[in-house]
Amino acid sequence: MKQAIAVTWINLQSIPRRIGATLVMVVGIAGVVGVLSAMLTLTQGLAGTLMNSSSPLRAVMLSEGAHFIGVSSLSPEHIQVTETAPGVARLADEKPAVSRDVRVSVTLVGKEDGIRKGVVIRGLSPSFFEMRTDVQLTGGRMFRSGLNEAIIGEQAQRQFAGTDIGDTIDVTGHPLQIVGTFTSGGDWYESGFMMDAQTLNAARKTTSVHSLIIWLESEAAFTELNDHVMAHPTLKFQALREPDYYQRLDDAWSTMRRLLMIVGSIMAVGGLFCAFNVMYSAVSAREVEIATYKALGFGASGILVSVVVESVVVGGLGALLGTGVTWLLFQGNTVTTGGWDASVVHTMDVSLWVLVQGLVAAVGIAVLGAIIPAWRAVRLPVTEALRH
Amino acid sequence: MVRYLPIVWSALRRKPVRSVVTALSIGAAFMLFGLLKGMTLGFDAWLAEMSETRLYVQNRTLSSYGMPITYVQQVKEIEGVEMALTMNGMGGYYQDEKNTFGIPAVMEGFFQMFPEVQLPDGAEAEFWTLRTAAIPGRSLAEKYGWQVGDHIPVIGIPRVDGSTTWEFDIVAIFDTDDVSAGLQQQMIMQYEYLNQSASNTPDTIYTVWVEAAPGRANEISQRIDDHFASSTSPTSTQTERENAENQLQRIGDIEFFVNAVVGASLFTILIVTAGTMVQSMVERIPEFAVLKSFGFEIKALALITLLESFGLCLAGAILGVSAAYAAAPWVLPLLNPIVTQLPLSLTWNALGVVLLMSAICAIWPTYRLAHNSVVDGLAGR
Repeated sequence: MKQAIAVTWINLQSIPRRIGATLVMVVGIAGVVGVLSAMLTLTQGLAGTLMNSSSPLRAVMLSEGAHFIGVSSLSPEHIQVTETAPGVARLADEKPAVSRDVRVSVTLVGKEDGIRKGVVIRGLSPSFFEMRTDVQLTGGRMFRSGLNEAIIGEQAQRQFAGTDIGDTIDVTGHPLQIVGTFTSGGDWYESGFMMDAQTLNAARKTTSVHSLIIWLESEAAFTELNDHVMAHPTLKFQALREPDYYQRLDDAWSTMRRLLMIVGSIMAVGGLFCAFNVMYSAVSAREVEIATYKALGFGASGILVSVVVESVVVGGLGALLGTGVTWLLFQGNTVTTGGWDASVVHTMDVSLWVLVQGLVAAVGIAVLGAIIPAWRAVRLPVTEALRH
Repeated sequence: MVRYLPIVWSALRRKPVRSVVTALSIGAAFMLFGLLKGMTLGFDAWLAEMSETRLYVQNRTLSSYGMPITYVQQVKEIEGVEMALTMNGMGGYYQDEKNTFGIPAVMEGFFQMFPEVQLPDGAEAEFWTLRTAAIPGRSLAEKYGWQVGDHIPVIGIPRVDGSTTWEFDIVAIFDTDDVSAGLQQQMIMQYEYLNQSASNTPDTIYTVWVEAAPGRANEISQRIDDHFASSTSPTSTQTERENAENQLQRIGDIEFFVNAVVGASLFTILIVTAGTMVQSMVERIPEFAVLKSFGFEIKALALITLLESFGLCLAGAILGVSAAYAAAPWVLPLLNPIVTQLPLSLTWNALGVVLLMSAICAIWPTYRLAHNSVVDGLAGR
């Protein structure tokens, strides 16, 4: 053990003599980790925004077979059956805590890129605002029902042009006035508008809604609600726990994650070869030194550890550099991920967790890349190496 | 130049492990380059193939608001419009919920307006006679093992009867050329079947496709939009290509993303390769000094260095780009529905990168050689 520490320490001090090759590995690993951490930040931010929107104390009602809200449609009969279901929490006035959820999309022009993207307008019941006390007005005033008024999420307002308080947007030929701004704890709602469900439905000339949001008495109450839904097979609708629903939505955005997997694995392989190469030449450069240790009677483990530790230290530096560059480039940037009719706006946050993931990847690459060179160092024939 | 090849070859063989591993890491970068850049090149080819006379009319505010079905007839009557029809569609899945595919619902005239959808003889007549008829693309049919004559249930949007199961009879399988191969992931159904059986608003259309008189696309687009300007649903008309460009942009800024990732990985590999080159040159300073003392000019030494880095980069590129071509049929469908094969133009792009990269890698070693005296070199300094 002492030997290993001594050999490793001497070796690390000798790095400046081999600075060129070492820098190559730092840059190599930094490139891999930099791209990886940028993509991780993007996908995890997106998933976080979607999952923030959900609570296990809420359920979502959809048409049977509808895997997302856009293809779901519920009639007044569905609403009535849901409102009388057991397990549903009560509002202050003892009415069931169920909110209609109607959504239409408008396209708005992005402030930075000038590209038109879909933004969701959600029509909700007053019960929504009674239950979601974390929804805070940050400017202007609340919309009034019966009037074509809406409030806009701060994230959406930052991203899209023509969305200041007082501006109007066109919805199916009806002008909709923006009267306030809100935050809702960094969830998906902040990427769009909210207005009164009945008012929005009047404009849509329909009484059906896309889905219902249900507040449950407890997490376990979902079973009661679900049994109630099951007891009405002719209505052909389904209840989903909100986290399950958002998990599915997140899956629909999984292209980004697949891209991360593909790009990440190819880059990791490249990084592996790079680490191998650099450690291989590091061992070549240390041949005489290593042979001397051996001649002095040092054990194999010390030499092995010194090679692997060098690789890990250098790889770790690379990971720090890579994550650092990503942080400089992207920290705090707001990005819009486009769905067809619903954008998700979130702020990039290169978190400590991303750094940890980058470090783990770098250490993995560094250890794997160092194994064969370390083995070679251990097996180095002493006499031959000393002859040089 | 040929006479230097043995020197270059022996230099690369001097440390075979290093050369092979360097080529492999270059290969990884080129695989990434191949897949991602190949995909955007594929998008470009796909866009270039788009018709300039085919126009796409949709609701100006938002396409999903739709328009009354009477718009088709009104558009037909506008001067310069040679053909007009509507299409609707839905997403659906067969057995596996995770694999949704597009099901365009089409009207008569579709196969004339879209000749890229190739049908076997007689299939069209059969398609229009059966309401539940469906024509899947070749690759979709192969994925699920569908045959002509099969009766298949597909889960789609809610129907008037409340169910979400749509029955289809496969009457034919369509083919496309390579550029439009993405279309083969879809299944064509009759507009009337969708319009009458879906529970959403019937007789609402979302697009009108127009074949405009050649060379008059812009003028006719304007005419169509003017016609509907004061109606309840004003329209926005674009050529098929403009519309496709907008769709691509809306998915996300792919071009930027690809350039960023490919740029970062190539830059990294550039540093790694240049580092390897410098190292191999430093080890051979005495050898180069010997060559110099034999009267090799600096130009010749520069050429040798260049050939060496070119050899490494080329070997890596061949490995990586071949791997990309081989992996594309599995990888690309995971990322986009349009481009599923890498275009040939990728090869030329890769070759360009190889030339640039090997030149950059040779700069520093050459500079060192030029400024090193024979005496110092022979002493290994």
